[in-house]
Amino acid sequence: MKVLVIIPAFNEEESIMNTINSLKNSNSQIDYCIINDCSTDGTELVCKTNKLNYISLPSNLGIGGGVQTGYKYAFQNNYDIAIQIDGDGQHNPLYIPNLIQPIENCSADMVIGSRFIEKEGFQSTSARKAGIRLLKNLIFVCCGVKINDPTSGFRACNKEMIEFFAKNYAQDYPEPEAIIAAKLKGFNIIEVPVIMSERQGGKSSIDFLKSIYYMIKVSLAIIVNRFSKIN
Amino acid sequence: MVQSVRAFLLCCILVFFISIIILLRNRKIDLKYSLLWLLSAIVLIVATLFPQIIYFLSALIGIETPINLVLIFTGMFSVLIILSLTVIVSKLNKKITELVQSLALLEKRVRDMENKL
Repeated sequence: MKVLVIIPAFNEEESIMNTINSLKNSNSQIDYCIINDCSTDGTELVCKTNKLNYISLPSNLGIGGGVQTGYKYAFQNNYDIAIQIDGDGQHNPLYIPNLIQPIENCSADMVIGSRFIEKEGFQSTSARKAGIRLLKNLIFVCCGVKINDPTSGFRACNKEMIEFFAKNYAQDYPEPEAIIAAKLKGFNIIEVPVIMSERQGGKSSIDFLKSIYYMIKVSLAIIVNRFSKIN
Repeated sequence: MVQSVRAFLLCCILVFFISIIILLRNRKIDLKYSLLWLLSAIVLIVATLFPQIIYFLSALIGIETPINLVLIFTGMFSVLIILSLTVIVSKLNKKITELVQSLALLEKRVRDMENKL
């Protein structure tokens, strides 16, 4: 099976090489593609000088538009499985086989790496955990699927879902929205336990003030998705 | 409505209407997006020319001063137009996202081909 690792990167010049190196060390023959979302630092230069495989967006689209570009690339190049990994080193590539396995034996369409199943490693702050729990319950109420870590950006999906995401993918804070869109489309989603580490460099895309906006926007998005015609 | 108020309103709306026509003539706005503007201008012109409509409607709804109904109409048209603008912005946003993505994917393909040469 052809597997592509999608790495969205926005101002990750310090950590992107570490991410790529640990990816190559754990799975040497795996394909990857960095999506440089119009970074203002030297991310593109790092990609160019190290001859990494990358796509550079000419204007900043945000995480949703960036990741979707990766899915479009995977779709155009006929990949069977696409895996999303953050460019900041939070996600350990050693878990990639765990994420791929349920897709390979056809027991799931989408696999999410969850840090809350075995509750090991970096667990985020208690405020964020409360927010995540709220989203988890909202997703459960809206579409009946129990996802412990709906904000996790560490996920794998199969060919049909690559096509679906290439065509429609939420733009602003897409992770929880993608779950409900996929579930309502009839895809099967499961979680596998992973251990996440704290980010190595750069800044989280969600600061303290933005988190309130994030919660309102994502909660609304989930509810709107539930009643949306397109899905 | 007092005659002077009607005359004033009519002048304002005519200026507004002519502005839209000029913008259309100079192709500064697409006809598609000016329809709501034109419709609102026409409705307001008709309402000032034939105030009986306004008197009838305000009596029906229970508005004591008929001029207030005209103001309500203006407000409603503004909200409608702003809403339609939000729809347009959302559409444009989607189109730009798609453009940026396909441009980036093409740039990647060109770069890969150049490297192979």
